[in-house]
Amino acid sequence: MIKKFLLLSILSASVVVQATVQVKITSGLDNPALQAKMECTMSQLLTEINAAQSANRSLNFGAIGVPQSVQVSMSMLWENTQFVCTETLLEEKCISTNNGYQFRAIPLQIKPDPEEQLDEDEYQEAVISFDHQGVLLSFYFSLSTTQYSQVIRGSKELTDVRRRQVILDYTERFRTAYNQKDIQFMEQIFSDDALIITGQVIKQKPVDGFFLPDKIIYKKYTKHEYLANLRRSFARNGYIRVTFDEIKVLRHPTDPTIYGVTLHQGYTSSNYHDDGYLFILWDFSDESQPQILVRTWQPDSFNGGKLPEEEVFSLDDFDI
Amino acid sequence: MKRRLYILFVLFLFSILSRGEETFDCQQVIYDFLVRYTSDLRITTDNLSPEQKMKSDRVMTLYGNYRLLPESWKELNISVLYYENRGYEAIWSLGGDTLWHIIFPNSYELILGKTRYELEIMLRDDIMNTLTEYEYVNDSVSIMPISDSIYVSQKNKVYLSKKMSTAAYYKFNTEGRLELLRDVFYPKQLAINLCQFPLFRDLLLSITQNIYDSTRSYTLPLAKWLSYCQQQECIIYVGVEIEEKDLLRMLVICENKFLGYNHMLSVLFPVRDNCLILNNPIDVALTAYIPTYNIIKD
Repeated sequence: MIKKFLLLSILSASVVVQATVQVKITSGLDNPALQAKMECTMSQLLTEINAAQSANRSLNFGAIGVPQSVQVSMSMLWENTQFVCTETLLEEKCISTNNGYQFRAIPLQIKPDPEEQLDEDEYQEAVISFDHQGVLLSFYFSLSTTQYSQVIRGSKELTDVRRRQVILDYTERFRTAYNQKDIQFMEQIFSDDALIITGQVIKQKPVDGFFLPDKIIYKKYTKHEYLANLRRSFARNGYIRVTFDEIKVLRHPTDPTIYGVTLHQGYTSSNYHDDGYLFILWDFSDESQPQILVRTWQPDSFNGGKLPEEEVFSLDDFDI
Repeated sequence: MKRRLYILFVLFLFSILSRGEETFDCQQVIYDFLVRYTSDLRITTDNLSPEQKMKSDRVMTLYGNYRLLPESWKELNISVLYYENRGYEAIWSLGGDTLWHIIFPNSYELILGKTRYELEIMLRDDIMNTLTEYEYVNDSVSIMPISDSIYVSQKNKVYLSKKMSTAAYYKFNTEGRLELLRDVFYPKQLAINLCQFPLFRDLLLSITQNIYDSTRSYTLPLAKWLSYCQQQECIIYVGVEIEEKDLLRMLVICENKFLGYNHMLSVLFPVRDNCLILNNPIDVALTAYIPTYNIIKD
C-alpha cells in the first residue's frame, strides 16, 4: 500500500513539472489574431520552462521566436535559479501599457534544485510584456526585496546591502538638490540619455450630461528639455520643498548594477503643491557616480481614489 | 550605572504594555524638538501656514490643537511613545484633559531641526565632543564554540542579511577567563570585533566622509567613534564584504532607529600570512545620516 502511494506521488510530481501550459487571454484585448499570437508565445515559453527544469537543462528558445535580448535575460535568470509553472491552464487579463501589452501575476515556483520538493514559500510571480505587434519584450519576476533574496542565492549579499544604502543616500541627495535648487547636481546625476516621463491628470468635459472618468496623459522629455523646465521652475519659485516617503528599492533581477526606486513625493513651492509617485532607475555601473537613467512622475490620486498600484511605474516597465 | 538603570526602566515599561510598543520617558532630544516645533508653529516660516508646515513635515494632529498649549509646560503631563519603524506619538494633557495629541515620523532632520548637510558637516565635532566613555554592558551572553578555542555570540541581531549582524567573538585568555577576541591570527573575527568594541585604546580611524557635494578627511580615535555610537543608541552591525588573501573589507552599519538614520562605513584591514595587520590609522570610508525613516520595511 505504501509502495503504491509513493509511486503515485512520484508520478504526480513528474506530471506537474513536465506539464504543458496553456494560456488563455480572457479580457483586455479586442484583436483575435494578436490574442492568439501572444497566447501561443506564452504557452510555448512556459511549457519550455517546465521541460527544461524537468530535464535539468538550459532553456531552448529555438521554436518559440523569442528576441535575443529576452533570451539573454531569461538565461541569466535561469543560471541563478530554475523555476516552473505548475498550472496547466492560465487565464490571464491583458493590461495595456505604453509599449504594448502586459500580463502580470504569472504563477511560478522556484526550484533551485530539481530534486527539491516544491515549497509554498518559494512562490513567485512573473510579468510578461509584449509590444503592439505581439512580439515578446520581456520576462521578469515581480519580486519584493524579501523574495528576491531567496531567489538570488549565493550572490554578493553584502555588496547588495551596501549598494542599497548608497541608493538611499543618493536618493536623499537627489531630494536635497531639489530643495536647494541645485541645477548643477541635476546635470551630473541624470544620464545624458535619461528618459523623463511626467503624468498629468486630464479632466474630461461631460458629454450629454454624462461625466467621463479622468485620464492620465504621459509626456516624455529628454534630459535637456527636463532641465530647461527645471531651471525655469527654480527661477520662478522663492522656495521649493520636496519630501520623499514610502521608499522601496528593488534590484534588477539579472543586472546587478541596475536598481529601481519607487517612492511617494510631496512637492511644495511658493505657489504650488502636488503629491505623486516617483520612479527612479539608477545605474550603478560606475559606483562612484551613480546616474539616473529613468525618472517618472505620476499623480497619486486618480478619479477620486488612490492611483492603483499596477498603474505605478516600476522596474518591470522598462527594458534595460 | 545611570545608563543601565535607565535602560532597565525602559525595559520595565515595555514589559507592562499590552500594545508592545517601546517607550522612553521623554528623552531630552525629543522634548527639545517638541518645544522648538510648537514654537515654530506660532511663527509662519517659508510662507507656509502652520497647517501646511505640519502636512509637509508629516506631523499629524489626532486630537486638539497646539494653540491650546500654555506658554509654560510645568503643569502639563507630556507623554511620548515610540513605535519602531513608524515614529512617535506625543500627548499633552492637563488634569486628565488632552490638549494636543500628535504623531510624527522618526525623521532626524525634523527632530534635530537641522538639514542632513548641516549634520554631515558637524559630525566630526559631534563625535569629538562626546563626553561619555564607551561602556561595556555586563549582560550575560550566550555563546557557541566555532573552533577549539573560539566562541561566537548567539541570538545576534541581523540587518537585511544574516551576514550583517551584531555577532562578537570570544576567546579564553591566559588566566582562563572568556574575553573578547583580540588575537591577530584570527583576522576576520578580530576585524569584526574591532568594528564594534574599543579593544585597543590608541587605535585611530582615518575617515574619508562623503558629503553632499564633496568629501572630507579627518582622523579620530576609534574609541571616540564607538562612544559616540553608543551615546546615540546606535546598533552596530558588521559583515565581511570582501575577503581576500591580503585584504578584508568590512561593511559596518550603525543604525539609529529612534532618529531614523544609518551611518555606513567601509573599513579596510590588510592581512598578511593569515594575520591581521593593525595599521594605525585604519582606513574608513563613511557615509553618514542615510535616512531610513521613510523607507518601506519588509
